[in-house]
Amino acid sequence: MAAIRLVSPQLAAFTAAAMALPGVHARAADAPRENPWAFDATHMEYSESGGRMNVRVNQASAIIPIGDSFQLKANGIQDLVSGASPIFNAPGPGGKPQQVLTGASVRDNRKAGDIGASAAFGDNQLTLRQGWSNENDYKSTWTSLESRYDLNRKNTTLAAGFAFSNDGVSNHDTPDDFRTRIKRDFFVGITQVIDERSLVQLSLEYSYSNGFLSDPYKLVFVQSGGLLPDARPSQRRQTAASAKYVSFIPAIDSALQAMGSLSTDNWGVRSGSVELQWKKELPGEWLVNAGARYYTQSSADFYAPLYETTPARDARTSDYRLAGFGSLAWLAGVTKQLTPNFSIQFAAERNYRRVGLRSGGTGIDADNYIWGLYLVTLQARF
Amino acid sequence: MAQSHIAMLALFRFPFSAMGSRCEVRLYAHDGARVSACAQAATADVRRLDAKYSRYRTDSVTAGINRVAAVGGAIDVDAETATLLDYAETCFEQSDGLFDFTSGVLREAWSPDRTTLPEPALLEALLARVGWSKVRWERPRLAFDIAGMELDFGGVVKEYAADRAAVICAEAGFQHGLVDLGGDIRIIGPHPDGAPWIVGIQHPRDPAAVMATLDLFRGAVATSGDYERFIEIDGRRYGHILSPRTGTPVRGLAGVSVVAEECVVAGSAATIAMLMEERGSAWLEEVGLPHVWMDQALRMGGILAAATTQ
Repeated sequence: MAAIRLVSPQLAAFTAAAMALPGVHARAADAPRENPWAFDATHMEYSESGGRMNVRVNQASAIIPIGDSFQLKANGIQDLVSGASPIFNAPGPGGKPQQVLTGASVRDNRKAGDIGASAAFGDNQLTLRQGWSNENDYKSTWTSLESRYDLNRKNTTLAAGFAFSNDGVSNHDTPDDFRTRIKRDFFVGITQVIDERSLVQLSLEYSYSNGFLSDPYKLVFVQSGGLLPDARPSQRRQTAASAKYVSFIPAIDSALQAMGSLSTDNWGVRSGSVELQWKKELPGEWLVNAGARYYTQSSADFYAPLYETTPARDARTSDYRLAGFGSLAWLAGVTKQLTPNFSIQFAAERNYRRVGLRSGGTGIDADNYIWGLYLVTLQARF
Repeated sequence: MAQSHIAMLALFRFPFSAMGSRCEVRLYAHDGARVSACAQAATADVRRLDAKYSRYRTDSVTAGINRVAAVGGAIDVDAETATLLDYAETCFEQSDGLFDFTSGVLREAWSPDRTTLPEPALLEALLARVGWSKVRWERPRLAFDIAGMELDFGGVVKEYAADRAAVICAEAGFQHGLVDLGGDIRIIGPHPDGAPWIVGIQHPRDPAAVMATLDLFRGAVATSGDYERFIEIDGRRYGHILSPRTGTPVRGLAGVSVVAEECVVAGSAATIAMLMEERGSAWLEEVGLPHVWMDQALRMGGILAAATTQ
């Protein structure tokens, strides 16, 4: 039926007579569009306990279809970072490391955006995106190309992509001295629909970064020699694999989603995570979800909370993000379809970071904290 | 994200009987409450049409028309009945008079308890009371100048009901599913992953076998055959599709299934092909409707037969 052919006069007569029958054709206005206009606006609040970082993010995006097989996408982000961030650890009473936070509260305003274009050719879809991000001490431009291919009657989707980013990093003391950091990302993925109720998704990602990978705001405390700037190797190779399984279970009239990921890099940071989510539709166009996540990582080879002597190798950090730690989180959300075109979503998660949950290396109790994420999203489709 | 949405969908099946057939609404949905409300609305509409156009109920529109047709006279019909009569008139014109709403009186000569062939004189007498051209149809007035005629909507109502039930579901927002009224099927939309519905067409001589399988993403399929209702006289099979020209059961085709956008078009085209006997398949090709046929010698043909054997 998909083939276009001229309609015979007989068929035209039948069709015209059938069109006159009430209720044989759906009203065009009710038929869902395959390629809708879409607008999203999100406000997100991220806050860490103990007066640490607080981030407020406003994001808006638009998808504009052009014909059936082409679309443009634009995305804008503005965020405001405030609060204090740990700069280094210093020996406290009994030699236990203690954090030293920034004295003055940090305030930074980031503006970021990207534009993209997608084109579909039969079962192929190609998406090219170009993005920019700008704040006082960090500038980034990035480009990505992603290809998706549907086969096996759309039961299988293969995806492959490449992204390249070129970042400039400075700090408040030398605001015009931007140092370069380059990152290249490669990924491949497969989505397989198993049956009408379940699907599995696997992906593999490799990234290679080089240039100035240190954090210009961080210091390390060396017992014998005072404070030295954070210094990290100038190359980083990361490999990550992730899997996701979603299944609708009629017995509980709900869907369950399980996700897991593993990653490793040449700095010695290995991480793993598992997440379980329950999703249920409720009468009245409500969708609720709730879940939990466990994350664990080992510390980087060159990480130490404190250094007794200057490390022989020119690689040192006390950054809590490269420490060994783990976290447990709960997450919950609710989405309400207000009209066929508008929906609103509230979501929250709360993460408990604990050094005791690390999967190797070292970390410190002083880096235990709680962070929360709250977001509200308005979505429109036409 | 779209795909995790897909995985939330479950297939709900609502079997019921109506119009003398086993029927079913199949819908993919997220929650059971909304989908059963929709399936109930769809099946209620099928039952409404069953009651409205039943030949067996005395309170049906068909019975009302036939009370007038029996004695001669005129009757004004409602808007829905009028569009069905317009549709019947189109079928009559497109089939050179073979598809005829008035040919039901011929059944008197081929009742199930008959053990011998009807006399030619009986057929001649019945044929005198057959013919849409003998009816004056001027919307909304239907006039019978000859007494003893009879009208039968059976040739289109089931297919029309399948179309309407599917549209009720589509307009309620369901995008994946189908409506099956005794093998007359209108697709609401493909499986959530985009895969087609695979429809098996029953073999006209072996109820347990499939003559062809069709992949349908959209549109409709309807089947007409000599096997659903027939009588045997002296070991010979006489089907229920009667020619308004000869008054006898059609020969040539054992069954034909037609695919079209609307089930009502698929069904009337399949019936016309049966009435056209050996010319049926060529006519469907000329009209441009994909189909598969099997003749009484069990030979198969049609573009969809080729698709099946691949």
